Amino acid sequence: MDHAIVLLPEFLLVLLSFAILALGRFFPRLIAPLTTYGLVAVLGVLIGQAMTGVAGRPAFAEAVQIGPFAWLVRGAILLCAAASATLAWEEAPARPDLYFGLLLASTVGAMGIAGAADGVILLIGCLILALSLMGLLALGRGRAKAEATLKLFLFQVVAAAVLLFALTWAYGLGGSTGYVSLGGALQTPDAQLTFVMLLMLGGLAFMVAALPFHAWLPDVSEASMAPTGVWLLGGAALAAVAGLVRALMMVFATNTSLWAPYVTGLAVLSMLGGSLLALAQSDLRRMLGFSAVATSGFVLLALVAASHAASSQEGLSALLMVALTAGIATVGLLAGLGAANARTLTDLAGLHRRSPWLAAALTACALGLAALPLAGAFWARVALVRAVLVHVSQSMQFGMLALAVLAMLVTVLGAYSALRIPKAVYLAPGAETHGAGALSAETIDVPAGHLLVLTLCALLSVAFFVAPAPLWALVSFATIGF
Amino acid sequence: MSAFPNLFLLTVSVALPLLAALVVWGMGAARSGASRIVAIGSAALPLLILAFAAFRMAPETGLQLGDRYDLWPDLGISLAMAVDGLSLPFALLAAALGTLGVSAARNSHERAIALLAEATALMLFVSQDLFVFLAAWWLLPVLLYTLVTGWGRGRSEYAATKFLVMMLTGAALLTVSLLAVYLVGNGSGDMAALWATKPGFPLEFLNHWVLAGILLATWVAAPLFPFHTWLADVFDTAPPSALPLVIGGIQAGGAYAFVRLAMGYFPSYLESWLPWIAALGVLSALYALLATWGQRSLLRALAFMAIAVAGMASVGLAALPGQDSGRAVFWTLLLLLAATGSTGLLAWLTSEISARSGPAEALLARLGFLTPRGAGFWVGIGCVGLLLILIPAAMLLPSLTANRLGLAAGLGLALLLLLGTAGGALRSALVAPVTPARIEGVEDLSSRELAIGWLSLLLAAVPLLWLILASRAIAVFASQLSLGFVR
Repeated sequence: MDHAIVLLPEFLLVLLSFAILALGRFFPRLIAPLTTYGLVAVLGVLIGQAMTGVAGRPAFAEAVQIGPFAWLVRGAILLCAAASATLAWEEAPARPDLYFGLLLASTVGAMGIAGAADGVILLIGCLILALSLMGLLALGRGRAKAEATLKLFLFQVVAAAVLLFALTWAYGLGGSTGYVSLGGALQTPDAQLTFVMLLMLGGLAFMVAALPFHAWLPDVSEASMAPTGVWLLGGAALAAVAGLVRALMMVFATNTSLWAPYVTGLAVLSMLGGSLLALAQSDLRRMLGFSAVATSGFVLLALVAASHAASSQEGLSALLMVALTAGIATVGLLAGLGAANARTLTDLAGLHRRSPWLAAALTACALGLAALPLAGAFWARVALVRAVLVHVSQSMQFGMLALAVLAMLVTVLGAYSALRIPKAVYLAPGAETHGAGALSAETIDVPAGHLLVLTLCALLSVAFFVAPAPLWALVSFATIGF
Repeated sequence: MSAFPNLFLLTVSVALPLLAALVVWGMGAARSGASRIVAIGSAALPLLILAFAAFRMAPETGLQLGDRYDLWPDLGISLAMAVDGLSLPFALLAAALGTLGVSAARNSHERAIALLAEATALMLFVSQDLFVFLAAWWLLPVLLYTLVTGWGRGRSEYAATKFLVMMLTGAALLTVSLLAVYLVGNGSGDMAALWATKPGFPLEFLNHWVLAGILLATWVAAPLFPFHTWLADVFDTAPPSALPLVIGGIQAGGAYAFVRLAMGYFPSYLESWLPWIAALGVLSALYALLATWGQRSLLRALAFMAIAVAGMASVGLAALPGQDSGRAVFWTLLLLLAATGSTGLLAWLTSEISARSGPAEALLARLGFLTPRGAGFWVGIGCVGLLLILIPAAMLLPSLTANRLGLAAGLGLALLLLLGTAGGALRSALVAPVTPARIEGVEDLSSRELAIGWLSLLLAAVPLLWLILASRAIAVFASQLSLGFVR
């Protein structure tokens, strides 16, 4: 049996995906609810697995291992997919059967990446996710989708090729593609191991869109519809982060000093570059794309903090907290922008008169993106700096202090960039000069799905600021094991 | 811990403006009159509650009126609130100036944000947890930025952005420093517990780096030269709803953080910094006084006077190595609180007049204040200002006598400050572009304009009452100092 039941959520999703792709054309109105409720039901299965202890068992000759870390990430991925499907009720493209089928397929790929304990599973997961994403993007609307799809294709092909090369070489060195076996076999750091690590890091850096491997993400983000954007910057991003963390922490568990300097470099470039470039954007979805690059930098910094055994728990907890809170803010913002049909800051001017709740919820999510107080992301940033300082105190690498300072200074840049959203919503000149009467008459009819996703994200963001303990307990539990 | 039942006074003081902000926001533009009453009432109540607390404080006890709610137990973070003789006068100042700000707001959104800013400023001063303090330190500039950029005038966008970026940069450094302090401590954000242990860092240079982070953040907020550039621009452009808390929250917060954090945790390491702090104080005061004389705007002149006061206070605090540190802190804080209180009040008045009736200088001219008949106004304002600054400055001198440099600097600066305060402000008013036609039009003034003008003179005396409240609370802090709170 090999505990294949561990992968029951994936099996269910594959079945649902096939069913929708095969029969969806005959029942077009049922597709969206079926997908959404199906994803929620699979989330229930995932929770049930955790409660019955099934989740912790390995499957397929240890090619898949669902520890607490993978369980939490897979749960978050399912939530993002459900949020994306909810938004797609209103924004579905001309072929809903294809769209929802591909969304489910990409969810399977993302969950595969998060649970992979073997390079081959990781590669398969990456390919399924990337190919499905291309389909989702191509099914969308807008003029820029062709260029973005092509860019996504090229970058993902390169990433997969580099990853495959790394796996082949690792197999030659260690005689296996399994993380645990490789970790045991590749103990001695040498030039070949360094090269394998660099190839693996390079391939996965494309996936997490760390600078300078980021160029595809802003374009794809700009060209995406709201549901695709939510999936891309929420679920897919989280899966990529989980894949990177598990690969580095499991394969190179005893050689963390081998990858830590390179990851540090990527973190610095991504934090700084992503935040600076986000400042310069006028298209909000493109700005969110660059913010996601900056978030990758913060996540990589947390990974560096986790590279020391004594600060591993703090680092991984901070990593998950940063990724989850940023994901919540981004998903909420994309839902809000979709609801307001806004692409630029000008489109948001006077929004508070047309839809006060939409404006307030967008503001809460923007504070989350800014990692400022009143949003749980602020505590995540505090936890990140704390983890870096714990690393400094344990490793006595005082150069890391500069990284802690840099992370907080970059937060200022990110904050200024994100604060432009509430400023446009409430204080933009158009809001006052166009006349209250004229604007208040143009009330926005916010779609229920968008309102639900946005409201949940805004409430979660504020709730995690008022009471961060439950989130911390969850991420701390997740760091017990991969 | 408490000398008398706390009755959740601090919780109520912070929660009232916070909840009122939500209510006022919800009331919207339709019920503007009602929302104004709710807002001003909720903003003023904390002032009354804290004033009540000031008269009930027990000098021999430390932190009082403690309320604590667990926020993040695993990291030792709690919403811990308490006041001692240091926190209370600053909280009183924030409540008083916050009320002024709320009363000046013109619509429900502005009013709600002003209320939020007051609640945040109160939290900044009454919080006894490092992390909650940090959250307030980050949030207050964001709220004031919103007020300035949303309802300011002139180049408010530029001024607000400069203010936000500088303050948040300071906040970033403060965050890293305080997290470092937290980590070498007992794993709790409780300031009192951390201060009691004072473990310090294993490596000498780390103590200085961490202290430098704290000092830089306080210097930006205070502000001292060369980190002062945001203040004059903000004064020039901020609406009357924001200006009082720029003084009562940000500037006072800088001074509070200096005493609470730098002096509280690093007393021995701070000593090697004191000559530099004194030098920076002297430089700031001299530069600001010279700049005051060059201003054509009354509000900019007030801003530079505030910088001069911050410089003066730095010199006072640099007198710490003397024999009587408690007295030095006492009189310096009194000077600072009185000066920031009166500056905040004057700035609010000037800004309010400007917002309602055009440039403040023009209205003053119309009221006849630049004629012999109205010269009494300026004499009155000048006298109150001089009194507020002269008394504490004179009382500071005995503490400075232990330090020859401090004595010389203190005497010189006190004199310069007096000249600068009266001269700079008067000159700003005299050189303001006032047309003779406006002066002749005094008879056309509405009763409301006249009321604003003469009420401003009366209100300028309020800081005297303020001094009484503050001196009592600070006396409690001084008694703690003598019990070894700081050292």
